[in-house]
Amino acid sequence: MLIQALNIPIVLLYLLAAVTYTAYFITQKQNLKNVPTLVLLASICFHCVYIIFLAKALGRFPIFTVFEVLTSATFLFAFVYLILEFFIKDKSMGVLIIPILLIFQFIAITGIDTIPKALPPQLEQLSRVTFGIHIIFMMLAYSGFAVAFIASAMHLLLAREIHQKRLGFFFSRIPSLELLNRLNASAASLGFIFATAGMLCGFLMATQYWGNPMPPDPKFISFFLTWVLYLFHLLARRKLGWHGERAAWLSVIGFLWVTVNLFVVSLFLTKLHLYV
Amino acid sequence: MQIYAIGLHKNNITNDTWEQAPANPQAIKSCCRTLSSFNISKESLLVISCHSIEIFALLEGDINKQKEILKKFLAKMLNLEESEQNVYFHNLEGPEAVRHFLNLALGVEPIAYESENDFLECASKGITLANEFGNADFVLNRLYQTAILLAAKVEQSGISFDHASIYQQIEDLMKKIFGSLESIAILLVGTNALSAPLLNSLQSKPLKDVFYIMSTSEYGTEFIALSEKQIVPPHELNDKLARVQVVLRMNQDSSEYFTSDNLHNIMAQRKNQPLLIANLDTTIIPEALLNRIYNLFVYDLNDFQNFETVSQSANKRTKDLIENELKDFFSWFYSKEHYRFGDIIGKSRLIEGVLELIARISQTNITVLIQGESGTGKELVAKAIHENSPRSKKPFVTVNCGALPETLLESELFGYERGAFTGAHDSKRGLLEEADGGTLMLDEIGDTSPAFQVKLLRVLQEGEMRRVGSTRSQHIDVRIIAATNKQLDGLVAKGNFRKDLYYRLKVVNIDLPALRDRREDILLLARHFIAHYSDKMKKRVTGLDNSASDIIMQYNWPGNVRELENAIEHAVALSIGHTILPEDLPTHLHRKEEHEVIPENGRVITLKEMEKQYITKALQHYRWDYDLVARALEIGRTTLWRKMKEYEIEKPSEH
Repeated sequence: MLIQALNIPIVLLYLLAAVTYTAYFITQKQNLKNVPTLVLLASICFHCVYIIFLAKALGRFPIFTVFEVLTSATFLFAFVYLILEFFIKDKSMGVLIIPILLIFQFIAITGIDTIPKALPPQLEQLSRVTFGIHIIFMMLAYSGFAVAFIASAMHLLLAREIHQKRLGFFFSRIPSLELLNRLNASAASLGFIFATAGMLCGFLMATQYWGNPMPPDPKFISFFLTWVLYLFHLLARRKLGWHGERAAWLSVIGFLWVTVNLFVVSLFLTKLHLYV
Repeated sequence: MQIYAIGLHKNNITNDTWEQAPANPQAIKSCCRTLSSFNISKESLLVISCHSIEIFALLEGDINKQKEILKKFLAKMLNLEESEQNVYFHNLEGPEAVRHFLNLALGVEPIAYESENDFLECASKGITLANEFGNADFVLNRLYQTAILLAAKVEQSGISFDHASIYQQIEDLMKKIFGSLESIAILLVGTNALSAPLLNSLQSKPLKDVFYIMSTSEYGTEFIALSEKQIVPPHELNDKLARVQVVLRMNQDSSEYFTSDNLHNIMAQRKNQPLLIANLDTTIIPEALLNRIYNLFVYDLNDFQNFETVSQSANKRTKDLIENELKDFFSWFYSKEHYRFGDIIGKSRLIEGVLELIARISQTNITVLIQGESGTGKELVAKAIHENSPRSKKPFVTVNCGALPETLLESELFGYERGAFTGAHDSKRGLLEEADGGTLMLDEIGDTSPAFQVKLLRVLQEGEMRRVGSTRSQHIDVRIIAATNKQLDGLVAKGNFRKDLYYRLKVVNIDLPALRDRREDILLLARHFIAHYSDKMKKRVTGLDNSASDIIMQYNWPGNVRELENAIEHAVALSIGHTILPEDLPTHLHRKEEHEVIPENGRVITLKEMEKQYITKALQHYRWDYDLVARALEIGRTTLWRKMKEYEIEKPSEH
């Protein structure tokens, strides 16, 4: 019951956070400075309580269906963002990130079942620990890619203004190109490391149960492509001197591919990855 | 009557001509004499700034003919040959001329690029010069004061111009591209007018490094602060380009390095780390291809000036300020009432200093103490401060502290509650409350009692007052201007005036000069009083005859301007012709000189002593022009020299 009762307030809190972040971004009123962060913090606290109760009701971590993964990923991503905001001391990224959280959580609450159901037969065979680690690493990887994407999108917007020599709206609101570039680099690298680890877990499980590290599944292939793309991103930075805008474009393309991978491949093509 | 400006900008004439013209004081001197001998303009002011030479003149009658004369005069001053007649003089008339003056004064015009204050300095020099040789009178003086006031207003409002705003824009851009300033190394290439202020701004910033590329010939004083390491010989440019983050090109030097081919290589060398190139000179023509190089940002001077963020609003605000001053000036100019009670007249250095001070402090809320003998115009000064301040729309209240007994003064000033004392049937607002938001002038502050001074101090320090008989303090916002004709420091020493109040009042001290200390203003003032009173009495008096003006020049004027005004009123009333004759003046003015030679109870001075005094006076009178003094004394120049040496008369060093 409590879980259903929390559904709406959490979505509303994320909505309020999205509104306050946007309002602060546009008006830049210094007396509103801490409001968005406080609202987000409240959302995260409620969300934490929600996940604890959900896990209790289900008797397991809520990462076994698409919707469970969505709400956990939202929680993790919100948490990662909050830490990031604390370190870079800039709120402009929230404008793009919080609406994503809002949408994820909204989709999640439409499909979450609080009564534990029997899991699909493939999942029953898997080691829960390895599976959990696999999922968490993948969620962290996606968070990293998302942060890299948002930093890159802002980088491109700001760079465009600077190139066109019409310094206006974004110039006064977005942090420096240097910071965005560094953020893009480190988020993409971290995402890549988690993706690699998550993939290794996946191989491990696949070998254990199918005796083949790469069963012929579209999800394996598409995610491998994602991995190659981010590998290229890291190498291009080091070897080709691709910083700033070029690296930003790589992150944007990478994340668009990730989105396709998440929704199209996972929902319609794959047989093995019924969850995300 | 119209204000007219004629001038030449530096870029209109060859450098040689430019350099020889203003640098030759002898030429200017003779030219100014010529100008006054033309006798065409009522007033004229020659202004020589670093970028232009301008004559501002007040013309009457056939303006076109006079324009031609002025043009010829300017050409002569610059030694322009007939063949150089294609030189472009700009002619401006009326509001345009005045706007030009104000624009120049604020450094808004591109020609006064180097610093805002340059022109004011030049204008002030020009006025001094014109006073000496030409005749800049009160109209142009007023214009000059308007310019000073405007400069103060601009400073107050935080509108900034040229290099400061351009530098700010560059800094914003650097911060947006590279993050913090600490990571940025800057390379300046070449020099131009912006270099020195820019370098100043850069040196106060926490930059990683500043390098300077220049040939040794450009090594000017502004670069002394740079260390050896920071000055880079031109052939090492490529090397540095690969390392720095920002390049500021001040002129087109070393343009061979800024081709797209070379920069492609440079960017490869620096592994595509971003580079910002700012072209800060209009002569630089950047290659169009540069914009396509990856991670290279190229900005031109135009791009900075077009930044809507800073410059447009500032420009608009300045424009508005100038337009307002212009309107004020012309409504005054066309009112034909050049003598107004709210105005202070004078062209002497002393009064000019006072006016400059008024202009500078009027924008603030600072407490002012005005000291001066009676009749020197203390109230005019207080009024001028009020009218030029942001409080001008609020009331200006004057209280004469000497005229009222202490208790009455207190209830007048602070007001009282009902029943505070016998006869207080109703509560009453005090003058302090009346003046809330405005200015309160306390005249004769030296005559107040210590008890009253304590209460006043509280108002000044806390901004709070209490009505007589009230227990409630209330907050008031009043600017206090105190005035006195006594020497306050003397009163403080004797213990009749509180020291703390004295220092609190004396934040800014304006000492009004006595009229005898600014004799050059006497005739000027007399002329205005004559115009005023002849108009008022429907008479046609236009001036003083020579002996009458001698008399008023010699007189000591213990009652200062007020006495002069009364004397002129008296004379205008008595006069029957167009000029005032000595007998029209009040009789006490005639009694003079005899006392000076042999003082009533003093010793008789020696002939030598007398000669010394007389020569000194003559020298002062002719402003140390030995030719004129020798001629006036009817002695030879060498004799004058010998006597000066004998009596040890020395020319005082420049003020």
